Amino acid sequence: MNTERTAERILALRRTARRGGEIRAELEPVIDGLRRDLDETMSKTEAAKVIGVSVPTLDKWIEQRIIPVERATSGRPRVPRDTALDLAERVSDLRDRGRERNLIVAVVHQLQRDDATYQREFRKLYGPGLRALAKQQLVSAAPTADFGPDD
Amino acid sequence: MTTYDVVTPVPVRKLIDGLAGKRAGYRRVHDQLGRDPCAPELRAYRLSGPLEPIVCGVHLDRGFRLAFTMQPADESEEPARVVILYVGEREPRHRDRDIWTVLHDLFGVENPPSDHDRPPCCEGNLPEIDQEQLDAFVEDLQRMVTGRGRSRRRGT
Repeated sequence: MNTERTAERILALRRTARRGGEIRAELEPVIDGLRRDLDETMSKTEAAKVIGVSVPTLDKWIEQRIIPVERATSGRPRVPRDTALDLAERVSDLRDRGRERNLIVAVVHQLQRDDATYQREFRKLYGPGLRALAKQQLVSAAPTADFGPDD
Repeated sequence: MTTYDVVTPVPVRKLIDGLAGKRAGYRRVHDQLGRDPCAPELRAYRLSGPLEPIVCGVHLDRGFRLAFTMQPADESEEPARVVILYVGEREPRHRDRDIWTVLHDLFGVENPPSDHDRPPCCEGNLPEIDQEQLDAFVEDLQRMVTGRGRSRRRGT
């Protein structure tokens, strides 16, 4: 089973299914079947290929708890299949629209806007990671010791 | 007791540091923002025009102004925070130095000709910025201070 190729098929079918109506109804069982052909988790290398980012980028997201991982019996991190597929879909959409910078932040915000269930799930899963990212850009605004009482 | 994290982008932190010794009253305003940005004694006001949903202003002393927005607490136990977007002088005759002109340029929107003094800041709803808007703002701010090219949004 080639994980990357199966994921590509799933993503292509999902894009088509978004047209809605009968097409969606017909494709959903096919997509679900393909999804279940994949293992429930995938390696970091596989996940990076599926999402379309480099392994170091994926490592950074995992380290920042943006992407949850499960541990294999060997102790190696494994990325949940559905997380990788959902992120891949949104990353692809944003890249089509020319967005590259702050990709993960944009992805998660798009998910939050679009889907109330995701809003709850992603806040729980990714909230700390998003805040961690934002914290890198923001620092305390407290006055320093150089400030006098009237400053 | 502080109930809000008061934070700012790194380039604005440098502007804040520049207020030391200027008797602009920043310390008082910072501490009040940390306690309650909606407190009447702060006399914070909403900006007019396109930034009205996002930005509130506060008069500091000696002609300085402070622009801030807010982000609510989230379920990851992070407290609500006040984000200071800019501090600077109100200088309508010097557009490149005027705080409201610079701020509107950073957001890529037109600065309305009327002044920004519509109290109170928290009437109806709180000023709020989403993470994507804040990221874009900080990116443009960084670009402005380093002089590396023009804003992506300017002129839109």
